[in-house]
Amino acid sequence: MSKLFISTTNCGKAHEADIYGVSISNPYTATISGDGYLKLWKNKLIDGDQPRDHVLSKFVHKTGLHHVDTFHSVEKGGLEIYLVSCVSFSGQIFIYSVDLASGSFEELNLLSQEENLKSYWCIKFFKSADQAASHNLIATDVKGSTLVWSLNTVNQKEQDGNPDDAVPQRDIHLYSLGEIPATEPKFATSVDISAKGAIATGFQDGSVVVSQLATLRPIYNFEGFGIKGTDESSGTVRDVKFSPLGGLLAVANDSGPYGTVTLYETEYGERIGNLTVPTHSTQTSIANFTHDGWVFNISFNSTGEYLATCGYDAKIRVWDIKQRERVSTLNISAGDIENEEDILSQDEIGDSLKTPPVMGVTFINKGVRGGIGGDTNEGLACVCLDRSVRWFREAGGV
Amino acid sequence: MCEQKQPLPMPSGLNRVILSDSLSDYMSHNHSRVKLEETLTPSHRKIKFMKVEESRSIKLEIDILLSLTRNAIEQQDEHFVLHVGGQGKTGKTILCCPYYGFEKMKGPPIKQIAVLLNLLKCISMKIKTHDLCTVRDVFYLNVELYQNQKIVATWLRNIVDAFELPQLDALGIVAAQKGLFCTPVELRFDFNKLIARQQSSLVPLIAASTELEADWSGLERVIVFEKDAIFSKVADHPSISERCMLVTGKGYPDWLTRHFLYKLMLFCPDRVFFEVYTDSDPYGIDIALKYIHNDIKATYQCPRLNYRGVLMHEVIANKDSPAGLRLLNLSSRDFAYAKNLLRKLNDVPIRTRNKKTLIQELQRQMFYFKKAEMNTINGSNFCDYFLIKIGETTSQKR
Repeated sequence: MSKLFISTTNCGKAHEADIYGVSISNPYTATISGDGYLKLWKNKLIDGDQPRDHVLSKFVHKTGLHHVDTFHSVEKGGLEIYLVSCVSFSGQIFIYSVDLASGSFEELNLLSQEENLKSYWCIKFFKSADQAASHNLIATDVKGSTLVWSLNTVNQKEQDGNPDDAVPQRDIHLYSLGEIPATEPKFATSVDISAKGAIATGFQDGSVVVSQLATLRPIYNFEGFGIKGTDESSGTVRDVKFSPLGGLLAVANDSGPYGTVTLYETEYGERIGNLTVPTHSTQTSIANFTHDGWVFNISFNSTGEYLATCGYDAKIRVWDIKQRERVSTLNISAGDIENEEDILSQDEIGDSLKTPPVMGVTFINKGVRGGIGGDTNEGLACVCLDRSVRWFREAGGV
Repeated sequence: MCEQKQPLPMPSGLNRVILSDSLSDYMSHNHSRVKLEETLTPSHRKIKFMKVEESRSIKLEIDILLSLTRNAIEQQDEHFVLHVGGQGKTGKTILCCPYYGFEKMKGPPIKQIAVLLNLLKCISMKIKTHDLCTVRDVFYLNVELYQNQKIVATWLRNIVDAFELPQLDALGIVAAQKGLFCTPVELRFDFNKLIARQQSSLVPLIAASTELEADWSGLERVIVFEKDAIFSKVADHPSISERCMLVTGKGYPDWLTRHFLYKLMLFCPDRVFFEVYTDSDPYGIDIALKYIHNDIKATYQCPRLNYRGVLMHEVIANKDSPAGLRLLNLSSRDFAYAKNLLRKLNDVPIRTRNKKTLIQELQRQMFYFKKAEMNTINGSNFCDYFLIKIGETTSQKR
């Protein structure tokens, strides 16, 4: 069965330079770019509202930003916490707490001096649904280590010595849980953490290591299955994602010039298979790939039934996980942008962006976006190399 | 230039036995450390290197310096102290011979003095014979003393700075030519020198005052290549070399090539395009930056140069050859280099367009973890790629 997604709104020239990442949580869609800005686009737009008029901008670092993740949680006592973390090309982590009422940013210095000296690459929040367990923050560094912290957001302040009268207060802290070192120094490109307490780290050489959060010990090691180039490691892992319940792990890695997505079962570490499209190419002998270009980002929907993938071929594909079948393909073109003035079909040096590579994609849960169908249908948000942000929703049911 | 220090009067009572003064005698007559040091300091001659006035020749200046040092030792039986430099980046160097004073960890500078005086002698000789020679030639005059060429180069630069001369060639010494160029028009300079058209030749030795003359109407653009392999390929392509001046510094450019480009920039009419092509790796970006901008001296930069490629996206989009062959993984060294360069690039005062492109390219290389060599573009046919690029450029506004 195919799914159909329709564009709800979009914003061209959202940043001054390439946009490298997108992350969505209830209040905002967060994007980061090579121009060093972090932008938060308000999700609850009424029909007719332009995204550009409802955006918070924050200049973070002059070298540009490449990874972003957001954390939104309503804690005990109705305390609402919204955190954004991003990593700059200089390898630093920046964490901001955003006040949802006023839209003001507060930079939090949560890392120790020693931790600040490392050169980071990828970052991920984990929101624990269990009130007894803490939230987590994980990050990879360029030497291949995965660093794990527990994230405390609330401090129970006892009143008059009576723990029952405790009033929760906002108190954001990180406690280092340790580090999963790489067996040899290699670039850790991507990381994710599952609801079952597993951490997956993807590497430049095509391998993925799955470790246990509780012990920080590796349990599985997956090798890439792409076409190998002359260099033994043209299978760079570009993204890893666990399904919402943690039963599956999807790995996006290069396969020469193409991009493949492989699914693994996490309990026994078995490879389930690839998501592939049929090809008609006469030039390739092994023609099973997910995108005709590198896959930069993958995202499960909230039920774990569908996986969205995006790639250098300017396409977003949505896959039915059970059937391992493609149910939708969105072709992105620079001309899609609503506002004609914001269309960027060529950059400053004459590089054509007519079919812009898609650098990031994320599913949008029901009830996150405003407007028609926002509450009843899931959607997709993506960022493309034509410096645009696009939002879609599933068609029907409105 | 020279001032003599009178010998201190001997303490009374010691007149009889001048030769048998012992340290304890000195100590008993001098109650403070400063005074003791003063008494023990032998009579010496201060010789300062100063700015060469236009009315005096460098040779005369050097000869005076040399005779002063010689006389100090041979005739006056004095120590001499050389004060070299002062204004330059290296700071002031003070050398005394024979050595006196407190011993320092570095040891007496007798060898440095030998090198310095030897070089001065050599320069004086070269100026007398009107002989141009390279730093390497000078080094080979006394390999045993100089030990390595870097020492010679450093001291020559110190001498130039001390005399406040504009360039090394004022001393009759030039850096060895490394850069190559090929011109579509006859190039005349220094009254009687001429470089024929359509011939690859070494970048000529040019002085700060040199003026370039040519029939500029036959010149459409000046193209700089990182690699000499590409340079010679393009030079053999008549449709390009008939209208473009080609320049290469063979990797990181030497001063002369950069100075030559600076001169070209001054004398070429405004309509001539200046473009630079390098590898799509962090070093390529650095090399392009070296041509475009120089922190120390404006005469070694060519801000008119436009960075044009080879761009990462052009290499990826090029489907003629398998990507495994075209793209290489970024090593951790490359990555660290890119990171530092990116930091630096943000603060470099160059034109915004160039800066934006260079930063964007560097960020893309880092984000994709890939690099590519310029040789591999268009199925290893750089000329084809170049012709396409030229077509684009002419249709665009600069």
